[in-house]
Amino acid sequence: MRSKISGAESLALLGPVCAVMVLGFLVPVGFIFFRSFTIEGVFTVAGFTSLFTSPLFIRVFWTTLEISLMASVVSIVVGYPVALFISRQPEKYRSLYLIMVLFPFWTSILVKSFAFVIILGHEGVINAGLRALGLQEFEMIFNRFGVLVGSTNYLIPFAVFPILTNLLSQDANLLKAAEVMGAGPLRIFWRITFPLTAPGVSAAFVLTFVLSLGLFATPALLGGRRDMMMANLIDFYTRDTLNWNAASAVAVILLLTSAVLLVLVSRISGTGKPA
Amino acid sequence: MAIVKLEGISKKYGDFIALDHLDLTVEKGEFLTLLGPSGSGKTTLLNIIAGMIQPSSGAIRIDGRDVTNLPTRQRGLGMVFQNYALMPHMSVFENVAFPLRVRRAREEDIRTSVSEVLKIVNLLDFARRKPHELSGGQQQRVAIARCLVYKPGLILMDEPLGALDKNLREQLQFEIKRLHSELGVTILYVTHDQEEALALSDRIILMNNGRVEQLGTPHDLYFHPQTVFAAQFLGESNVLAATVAGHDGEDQILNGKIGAIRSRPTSIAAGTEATVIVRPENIRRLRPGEHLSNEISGDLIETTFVGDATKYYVKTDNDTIIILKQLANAIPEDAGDKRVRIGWAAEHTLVLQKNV
Repeated sequence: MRSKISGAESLALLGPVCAVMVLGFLVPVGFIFFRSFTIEGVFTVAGFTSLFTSPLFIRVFWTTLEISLMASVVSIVVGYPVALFISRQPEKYRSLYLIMVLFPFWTSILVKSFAFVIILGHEGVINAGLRALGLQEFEMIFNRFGVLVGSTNYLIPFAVFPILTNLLSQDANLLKAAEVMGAGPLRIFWRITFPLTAPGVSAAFVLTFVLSLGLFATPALLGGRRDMMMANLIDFYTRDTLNWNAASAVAVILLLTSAVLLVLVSRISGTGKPA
Repeated sequence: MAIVKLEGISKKYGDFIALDHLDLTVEKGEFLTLLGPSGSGKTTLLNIIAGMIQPSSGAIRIDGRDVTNLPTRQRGLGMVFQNYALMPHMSVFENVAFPLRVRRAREEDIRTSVSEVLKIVNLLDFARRKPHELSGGQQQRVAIARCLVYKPGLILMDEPLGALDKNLREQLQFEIKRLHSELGVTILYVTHDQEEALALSDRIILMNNGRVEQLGTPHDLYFHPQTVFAAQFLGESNVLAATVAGHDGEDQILNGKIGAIRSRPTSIAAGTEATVIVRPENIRRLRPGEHLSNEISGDLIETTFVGDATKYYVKTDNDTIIILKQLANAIPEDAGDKRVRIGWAAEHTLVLQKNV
């Protein structure tokens, strides 16, 4: 049931979204590219060369990759069992669990980061509890741990959904067949279920990794000085040093890193044939 | 020797009775088919034997051992599915090797056994392929090889040919039949296709509404159906209501709407209501001057050519439609004469007690 639509109709349907994308995305990105290659209107690559010789930038760049990698791995490790659990539930309960997975989206990442300050902080619930029990308290905030807790909390739904979709598309008869042949639950999981979710896991990885590359509020509120990420560096250049050229160059590098990563992962995992 | 013995198996889903107190024995080496319409309980029964559904009551014995509460993986069975259920990420070789790896067989034994069964199903050259690179028929042969390789005492087949087109289906029927007779494996086969059941089985269990309607050899079921359901499910039937009237010489006489019907003597007492069944292929058009024990006149209202046969729909003078089937003739018969005389021999009248 596909009816042809005229040129005018498609313009009317797609026009608004195109206008918004051009004005709200392409034009600003264009400005950023322009700014990154010019200082006071004159073309130069000085912004990039000075970044690549700046120990600050190089450290922030690696920190960003490191945190993103850890956050996305932790999200997948924590999210996979959740997806597996939901996929084994009867269909009528599944949507209830999905709503629970989506709960974190009901509050902004900023609010959640503040909430973690209260929970994880020196005077926070956990440390107060540990003290009350006479146990050793430990620093969970203004360090890498705090950033990871905050970011995985935000990222887990993005890990759960692609994996869950993949699990639900698997043929239930495969598990039956393996069971009849005598395979135990562990073997069935590691030899059948898990390998077949590879496309879902790699999609979850790309999604969570790219999302965490752009983290700003979480490292700013929950991290220490050594946990500065690229977005925080952009903030630093635009607000503290008013160096728009350097800020734009960082933004361009961030954008290119995400793009390269997306291409790489889609190459490696291919367009994994669904089971 | 019995491989599987089911004793009083019932399965209820709320008020719905999927299986009603079923007893069943599968003998070693036989090809037993569960035949029935959808919803008759045949697949439920198969899944109960496999251990994927727990019966509400009753006991299952495999090789004399009570396995009612044993999980699927400890029952030592093999199973072939309609959608093949091959592991898509494993090669043909690895798929067939899987049950052997589960059993922790030695690597060289695995290689020999897998090659052996792949040779039996003529797929040795495909060992490195992935399932999606094979045709449906080839995939199902891999699935069968995967069962044969670990020599389970019983192989369950759940409509294994249901996803294949007609030619492939017949080819694979032949293949399964060959494997069964050559390897002496025991097969419990589920299908709703009567021709498939007749072609393959040593015995057929005809199921209806969660009960066994009739159990017997294909020949028995076809020529001696004990119920109207059996008569209608296997092959085609003209079903007529009649009352046993008495005897005339060798024949038993029944009175029906179409008049007197002659059959061979039965043990049904005179005066009893009965159901008369006549197979369409046993009725024929009578030439002038030709006579059979049962004769009736009517109008030919419809002729359908079905390839190997032609079906005639005759409306008798008392408004009963009777279907007859004759081998098709290359020369079309004269359609002009609407008035026909049809008949069948007394031995082709099947008489069933009413309400069975």
